[in-house]
Amino acid sequence: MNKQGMLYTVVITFSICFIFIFILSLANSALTDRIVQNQDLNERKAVLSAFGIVFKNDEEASALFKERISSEKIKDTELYTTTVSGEKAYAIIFQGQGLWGLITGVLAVDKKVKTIIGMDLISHNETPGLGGRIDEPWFKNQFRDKTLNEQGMIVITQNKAAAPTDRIGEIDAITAATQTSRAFEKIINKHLARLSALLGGR
Amino acid sequence: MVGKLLTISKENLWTNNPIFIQILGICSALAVTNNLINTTIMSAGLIFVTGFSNLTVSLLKHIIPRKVRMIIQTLIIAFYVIIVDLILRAFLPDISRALGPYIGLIITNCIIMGRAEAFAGSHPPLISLWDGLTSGAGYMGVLMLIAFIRELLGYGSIFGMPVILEGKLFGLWLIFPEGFQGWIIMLMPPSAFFLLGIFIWIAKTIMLKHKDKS
Repeated sequence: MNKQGMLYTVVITFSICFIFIFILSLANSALTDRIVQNQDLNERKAVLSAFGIVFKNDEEASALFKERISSEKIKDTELYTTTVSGEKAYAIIFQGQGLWGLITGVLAVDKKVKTIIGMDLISHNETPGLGGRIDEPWFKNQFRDKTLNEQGMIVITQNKAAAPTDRIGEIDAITAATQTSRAFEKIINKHLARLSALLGGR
Repeated sequence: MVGKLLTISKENLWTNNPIFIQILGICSALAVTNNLINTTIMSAGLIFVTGFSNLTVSLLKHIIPRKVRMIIQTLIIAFYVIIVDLILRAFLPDISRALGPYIGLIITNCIIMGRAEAFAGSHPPLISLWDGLTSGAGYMGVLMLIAFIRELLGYGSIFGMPVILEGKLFGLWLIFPEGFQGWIIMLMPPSAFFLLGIFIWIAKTIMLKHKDKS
């Protein structure tokens, strides 16, 4: 058979593609359940950390999530709720454009939307070591019990010289990652506005 | 046979190293090397993919028509990269999260395509597998060295463990001033360019000296 002929080329290319893709789809369907489970667990852990609920391992996280968190639908938006120090608190899954790609995370606020209770990230594509540091504890911890400024927003700045008491609603930016810091500020403020629109009337 | 395997290893690890001689796979060498953990996993993924794509290309070389061989090589490489990605996402979700888009980018690493085209297409399967694995190892060696320097100076840590405390390395030798701050340049891609340039310089100098002697 002519190995350089048209028919041979088409048949061989087709069969090789078919075999490899068939194996891939088998592997994919065998692992999908595990991957979805991992993603769900990841999201649940982020919701718990945003509310400041401490857990030691994956099992404890799942149990705590079931026990303490419920979801509530307000005007077609799904929110998570729980009680933090006796008060009802809400969390929203946020999503927005970072410097390189989508940033997804959880933002938890008190019911009057005056204070951020906490923030955790689910996924991002920012540069490791630079913008990627939004996923580091020192950055995320800045959002813990953060009072918002008069406009109900936060500002991410390099204003490190000011006294801590003058820094209502201010978060330290990431050095050498100005674009990510700016994009992140925008995403958070957008979702704060959305949360106050959703919860404001209550 | 053993002699041949040794020659191939020596070539891929040193005299024909993919990074500092062939200057292939530089994109990922710049991107992932600011942290040793990511570098290790990225290189391990690359070793796996180069090894097995070489093996597969070599096994199929007699039935692939010449004019579509490149496209089939790409398919085979993509196949193994997706397998690595699936396995990481299913069994090591934290690492998969940390590496994000880089795993998918292994597909575009020129080393793999280069080895498939230059070696696997004209050699028997097992030697091709060995060639792929050692090429990957040659890549890993250089990347680990760059990552070691970048992480040490950028974060003051090794594999995420802080080793520069109050200017002392491992708490023993005072090599930096006490208020040591990580060098931001080391966290950014350009530092890998400088380090790579220095490595190429050193490696070439050693090789030339060696040649003069012999």
